[in-house]
Amino acid sequence: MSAFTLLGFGPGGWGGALLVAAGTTLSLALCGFLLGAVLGGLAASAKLSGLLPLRALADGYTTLLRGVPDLLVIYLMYFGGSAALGVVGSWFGAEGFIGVPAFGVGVVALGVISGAYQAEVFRGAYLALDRGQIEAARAVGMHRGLILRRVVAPLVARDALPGLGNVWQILLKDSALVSVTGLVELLRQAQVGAGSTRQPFTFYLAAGALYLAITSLSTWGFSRAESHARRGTR
Amino acid sequence: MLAPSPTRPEAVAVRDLHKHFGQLEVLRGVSLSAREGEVVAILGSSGSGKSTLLRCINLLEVPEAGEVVVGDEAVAWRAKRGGRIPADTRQVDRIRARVGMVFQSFNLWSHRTVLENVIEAPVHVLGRRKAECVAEAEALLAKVGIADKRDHYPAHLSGGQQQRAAIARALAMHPRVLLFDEPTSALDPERVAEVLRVMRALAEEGRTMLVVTHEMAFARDVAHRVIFLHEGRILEDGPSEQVFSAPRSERFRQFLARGE
Amino acid sequence: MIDVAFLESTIRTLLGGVPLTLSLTAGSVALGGVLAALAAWGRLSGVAPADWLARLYIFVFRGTPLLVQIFLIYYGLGQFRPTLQAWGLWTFFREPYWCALLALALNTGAYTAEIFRGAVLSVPYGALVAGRACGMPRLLLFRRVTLPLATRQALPAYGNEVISVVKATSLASTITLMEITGLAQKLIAQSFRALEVFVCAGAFYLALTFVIIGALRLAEAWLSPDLRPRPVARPA
Repeated sequence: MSAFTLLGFGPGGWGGALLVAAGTTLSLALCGFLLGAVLGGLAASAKLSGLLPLRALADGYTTLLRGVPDLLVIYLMYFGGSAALGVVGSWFGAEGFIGVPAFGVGVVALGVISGAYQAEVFRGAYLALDRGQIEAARAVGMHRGLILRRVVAPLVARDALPGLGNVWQILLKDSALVSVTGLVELLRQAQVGAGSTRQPFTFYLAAGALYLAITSLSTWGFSRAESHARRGTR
Repeated sequence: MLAPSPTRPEAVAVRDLHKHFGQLEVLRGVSLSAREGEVVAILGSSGSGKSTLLRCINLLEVPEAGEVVVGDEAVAWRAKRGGRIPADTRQVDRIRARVGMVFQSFNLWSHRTVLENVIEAPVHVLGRRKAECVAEAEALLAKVGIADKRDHYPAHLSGGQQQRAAIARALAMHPRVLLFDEPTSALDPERVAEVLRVMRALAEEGRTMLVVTHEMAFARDVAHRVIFLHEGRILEDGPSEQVFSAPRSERFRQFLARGE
Repeated sequence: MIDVAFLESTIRTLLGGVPLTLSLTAGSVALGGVLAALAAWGRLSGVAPADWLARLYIFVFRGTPLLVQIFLIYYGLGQFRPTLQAWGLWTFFREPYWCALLALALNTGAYTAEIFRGAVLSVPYGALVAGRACGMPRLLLFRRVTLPLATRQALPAYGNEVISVVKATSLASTITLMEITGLAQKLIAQSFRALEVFVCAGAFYLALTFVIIGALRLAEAWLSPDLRPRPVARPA
């Protein structure tokens, strides 16, 4: 069978399966990114807070996660998650190994990893804020919540956008590591196809091309968003 | 300019203000008040405490001692960690909403257009209807001479235009008092006049203004009263023609001679 | 309860993976540096084919996951085994070690190329003009002016890239290489004590990271004599 029919959408073609798997990769990365935004936002506020224990905790989190291989974190979540579930299960009388949902493990792992990077991005953007604009908001009688919502958040989001774009690209590529848990995302699907057709080069090349398409589209999307957010600043 | 009648009520007053930053005493017992419609120029060399005085009035700085009264409302205090802070943050926000502030570096919100800058606080702090605020904002922008810039972002304006937009933003809150913190110091010389022209028009309308400035001509010709601050104390306080023609303190004479 | 005996045996086992992690890192950083220099030269050469080739290389290797690159080289090239055997290359591509090394080098080379390019472009034009003005030929100018200034500029980003190579070597475990992460994964699967093993393995990586950061600081101090404290003037 030629590579064309092999990767096509006809009978015996793997095109559909690969596209669906690419969709899984995208939703995996997206959920991980959103969880990472929450964790990163929390860690950034902890780092910026005056409370020493909070700051130390957040510093520990970002240093650890940025110094340890992402694959190791995924193993921890996958095996550790099952072990934790096993303990909880034993309280309710269940026995033995309890499998955790691979998608959930992937999202948590990618969220924890990207959260460490996003924390630095948010922190940097906050520190780059023009204090004068916050002072102007105080001077017209805005209360803290209003200042956060109307002035700080939009300015931080604007300044954080390029950094967040980088984190997103890293995350997209990191999502391939989740294939080790057996979750059928793009790389895992390519592995399955490679195994059953004995055409590994064709399949990995196809997967690579799809990743390249996704990352290129993302680059384009982020640069559009950046120029939109930067309107009026230069 | 003709001073307002001495029977007009006080719009703003501070009594015996003290403020220090660490070891440095910036204000050492400053008292002043402004009647409605009065224009007060606050002079002094850099480090004399004049900006700090202004920032204490709308509580951007918290004075360690002394009273701040805006209209008929005195700021309430409570003790905290050996010092004090305003007792009621809502009171602080209310007072700030009534006191307009114009900064040396404009401080326009860079992510909003000129018009959005002007309607931001009326809509979100006072809770007024947007359409009404937009109409009013357009009139204010016309008044300061930048009606055509309503949809521009601050970064696209010259310094003088930005400062006029900032004045419109302050006016949109219908403030009882306008504070100007060196409004022309960050401007190119050729842009200073356009801002001073707007400020002069506001003075002629009978607005209450406290102006920290280095523009002697403005202090002499527009202000009703001049205050000279030196090392945290008021050394001169009187009608502007009197202070300029017959200063009481040697310091002020030196200050004028150096042309600061 | 902390099981000291388990931790001790874990650390001893993981220690066995350190040489492999180090040799993969050193090999791919060295080879990647050469590739990066070539690609950066291609981008800056002004020769259109070289520029396009370098762009394509950087685009492809930065735009796809490293794991895909590893699988493509190790498993994928197996599809062409007869050809590779005929060319005598199979002995190389048969070995997971060489495949991992090649993939890591190609990957880090693409990222490093952009770091090198940015650093060379950051050299102030005035410094180059000054060099030309005193008659330096091109190569001398590059060696005496561009290179030292660009190296210092590139150092922080390059250090981060080396750290990410250390982390990236963990992917070699997916093609049977038992470096630190591979051993850790095996231990976890055997003992189901994920957290303890993770902490031990993580400590190894953090230690390596700190060593690299320390080396980087030294290199930076050595390359930036202008940032050292002013020499004390000797009394006359």
